Order: sequence, then C-alpha cells, then structure tokens
Amino acid sequence: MGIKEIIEDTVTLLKMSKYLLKISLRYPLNFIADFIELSLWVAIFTTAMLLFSSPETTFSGASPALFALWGFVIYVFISDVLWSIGGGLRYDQVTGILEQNFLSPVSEYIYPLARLFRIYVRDIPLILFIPVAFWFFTGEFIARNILLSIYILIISIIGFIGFGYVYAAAIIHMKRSAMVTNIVQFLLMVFGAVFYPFSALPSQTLVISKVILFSYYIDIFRASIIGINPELIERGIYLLGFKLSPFDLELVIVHLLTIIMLVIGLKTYKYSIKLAKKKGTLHTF
Amino acid sequence: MLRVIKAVFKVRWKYTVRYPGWFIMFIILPIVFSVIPIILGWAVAGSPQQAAINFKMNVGTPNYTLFMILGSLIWLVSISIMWDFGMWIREEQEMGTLEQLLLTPVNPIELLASSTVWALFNSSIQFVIALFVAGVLFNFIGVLISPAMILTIIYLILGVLPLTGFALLIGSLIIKMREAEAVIRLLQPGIAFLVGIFYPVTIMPELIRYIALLIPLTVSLQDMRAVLLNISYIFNPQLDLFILLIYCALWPLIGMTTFNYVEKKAKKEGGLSGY
Repeated sequence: MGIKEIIEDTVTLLKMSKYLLKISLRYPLNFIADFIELSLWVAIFTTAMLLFSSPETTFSGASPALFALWGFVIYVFISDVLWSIGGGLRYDQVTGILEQNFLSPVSEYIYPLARLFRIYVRDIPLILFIPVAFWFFTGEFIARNILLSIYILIISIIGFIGFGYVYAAAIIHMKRSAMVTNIVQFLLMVFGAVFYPFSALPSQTLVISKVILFSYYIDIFRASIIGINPELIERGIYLLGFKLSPFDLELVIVHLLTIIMLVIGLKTYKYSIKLAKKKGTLHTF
Repeated sequence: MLRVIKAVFKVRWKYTVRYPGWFIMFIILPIVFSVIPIILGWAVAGSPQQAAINFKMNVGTPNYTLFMILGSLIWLVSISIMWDFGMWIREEQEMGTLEQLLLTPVNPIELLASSTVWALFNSSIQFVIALFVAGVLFNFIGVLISPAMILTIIYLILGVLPLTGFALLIGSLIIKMREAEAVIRLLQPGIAFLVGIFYPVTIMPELIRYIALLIPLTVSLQDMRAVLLNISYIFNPQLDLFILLIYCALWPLIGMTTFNYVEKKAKKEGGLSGY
C-alpha cells in the first residue's frame, strides 16, 4: 500500500466518522444521558463499597477506588470496540446496508474503524468526566506518569482494534452480537478485574484472569497511572543481558499482544468477509 | 382476553425456545452482576471474612452475597418487564408497523396485560432458578429451602405487578418523544439507585428515601431481604403488604390513563409512525 492510498483511506475514514458523528449529535439527549447514567452507576457501586469499608484498607499503597476509577476508564475503550465494531456490523446487517457497504469501492477495514472513531470522539468528554465523578463520590484521585499512561492507552487501543476485527469476523457468522457482547463484557468485568484490584480475586480465579489478554492491558495501565507495581507479573527476568522489572516485562507483553492481535484481527476479518461474500450470507441475520 | 393471553404465550414461548441463550443469560447475568460489588467488597475489607463482619455492622446481616444477588435479580426482572412493552412499541415504530397495529381492533392494553402475565411467569421461573444456582455457588442454599421462600415469591409478584403501569408510561413516552430511549436508559440506573440493589434503602437521605418508596420494587426488595435475611422491613410486614397492594392498583391505573391519552392524541395528530 502506497502513501497515496494511505492518505486516501485516512480521508475516507475521517469523512465517514464525521458523517456518523453528525448522526449521533442529532440526538443530544442521548449524550447527556451518558453522563447521568455514569454518575448513577458510580454512586451505586461506591455506596455498595462503603458497606464493606474499613478505612485502613489499601492495595499496594493505593485505595481500591483508584483501581475502580482507572479500570473503568480503560474498560470504556474496550467496551466501545465491542459495541461499535461487532454491534455496528450487526446493526448494518439488520438495517440491510451491510452488503451495499461492502460492495462499495471503500476498503472493508474502514467502516468498522469509522464507527469506532466516531464513538471515541463522542466519548472523550465522558472519559474526562469519569475521574470527576469518582472524585466527587469517593474523594480519591491519583494520576501519575501521564505521558507513559497515554502511550500505554494508545498501544492498548491498537490492540483492542485488532481484537475488534477478530470479534467482527466472528459476529458476521455468529449473528448473536448483543448477547455475545454482553457475555464478553461481563466476563471481562469479573475476571479482568475492571472495578477492583486483581489481588482481591481468589487465587484460583486469578488463573482465568491471566489467560484473558485484556487483563494485561488493564493491569499495566493501572500500574502506570497509579504508580504501583503490576499485579499480574510479580517477578522480573533477564532478557538479552538486560534486567526487566515486572513493569517492563508487562510492557513488552502488551506490545507483543498488540502486534499479534492486530495481525490476526486483520487476517481473520478479511477471510470472514470473503467467506460471507462467497456464501452470500452478508445480509442474513 | 384469554385468547390474547394464549396467543402471546405461544409467540413468546416460540421466541424463548428459538433463542434459549437469552433465557440462560438471564440466569447467569444477575449472578455475574452481583459478583462485582462482592469482590469490590473483599477488596475494600481486605478479606471475605472481614467483608462479612463489616457488612453485618452496616446492614445487619453477614450474608452479603444473598443480599446483593436479590438486588440484582429483582432489578433485572423489573427491567425485562418495563422494557418489554416499550421496546415492542419502538420496534414496531422502527419497522413502520405501529400505526397499522394500533388501528387494528386489538386493544394494546390487552396485549400489554398478556405480555405482563407472560413476563411474570417467565421472570418468576428465571428468578427462582437464578437464586438457587447462586445459592449453590455461594453456599446459601439452606436459606432458600424454607417456607420463607414462598413469602419471597409473593413479595416478588406484588412488587412486579405494578410495573405494568411503568411499562405503559414508558410506552407513552416512546410514542410521544423522539429521544425517549435516552430517558428510558436513565431509568435503569435510576431505579437501581433508588431501589437500592446493592445497599439498603435506609442508608439514603430522607428525601431520596421517600422518592424511592414510590417505586413498588423498593418495598418489595427490602421486604424480600427482610424475610430471607432477618433484617428490618420498610415499615412492618402488614403495612408494607398494604402499600404493595395499593400500588398494584394505582400504578397500572396511572399508566393506562396516560397511555390512552397519548395514544388518542398521537392518532389524532398523526404522530404514531414518527420516531
């Protein structure tokens, strides 16, 4: 792919995102509802948390509320991928435009990306509001290593996009987007320790957490922004003569996962569409 | 009316059999949903044992798992009942068939009543199964195998029946508003917050407590917890039952009056098909 094609694809992506964003901005009440909904959920969970409280409890020197706060922030990015890429394809299938979209002279990778881009742009104020809501209800806020954390977030998003493509590939054939998305989200909430530290999980459950790829993204992001050691990698190793701390090692793992997920995602997605086109099942649901 | 109920049961049964995943999901979902505050509780307290001690100090029972699961279960039951009718209207609107449907000689109230009977039947089965599955998983099955369980089901039904009124209000909102989904979406956490799915309503400020009492589920849930966990009732068993019985008549009446008014107005102004 040449530079010219990349520029053309980027322009198309931006144009599609703008068009999709325009549609969602037509419903401002939905946008406001997001903020109220979020505040209510934070209030519900923090109130529940208070019923178990003992003031001296901390994890690696950090309050559990901080784990919930930053876990929630990265979770929004993961959830957006699931709903916009998988759910978006399903929506287009139901409304009957998926086949037309894939027959148009636009790369099949762009449409899901445009949906995701639209959601991310729309969610930026919401993501900025999450720390405010948590601070309001719990009085807790810590944000260290901001640049490194943003870098980790970007790497994570690229990895999530890779997963999103795998997920989209599966959804085209499974046709059970909403249910599967719900299951994935809830599994992630529990085993990915989105709202609590991994160390709060029973040891036998922690094994499942370590198998879930997203856990490493959540763990490294929280470790970076709270300024603590990662919970999933306890010991460092020597690699090519260099000593890698648990944090460094997890950072390497996250980079590798991102590359693997992206490559697998792009390949499976392409194959899946090709198969659906061949079978003529793109429009069926 | 019986014919309509039979027809609705037939359709819904077919759907349930065709998509069994949703039925199973409804059993798993409240358990998974409750696990979040439970593990959060362990994290805050330091250990499950300490969590039980702290929880008992604040709520009056160490059985926080049953407490949380009852909350998330009743919340999901309420959502499925309230959303059922509203989402049906929205789907018909989107497919462009609502206008035709409301012009047929079928009374939508009859359809709603039938849907409610189905939802009650379906939800009660799912509620009991989910509760027993959770009981096995979290080791509180002993509490469930007792006569108190019958009373719990009665409280469930009395709490859920008035939701027909809420369903009709949501239906009215969908017909009336273009962005009704946003408001309805807010109802989910709004009800969870007011009803106290993960905490007793008694810890809320007085004003919020009074607002929460207008929702039948608040009374129903607190009393179900009182029966199974020996904690306090909202007022006392007799008065709470009396309130729930009043709600069973009052809320459907409010819902029906509003829906009839909105439907009539929409038919007159021709706004049924717009969304």
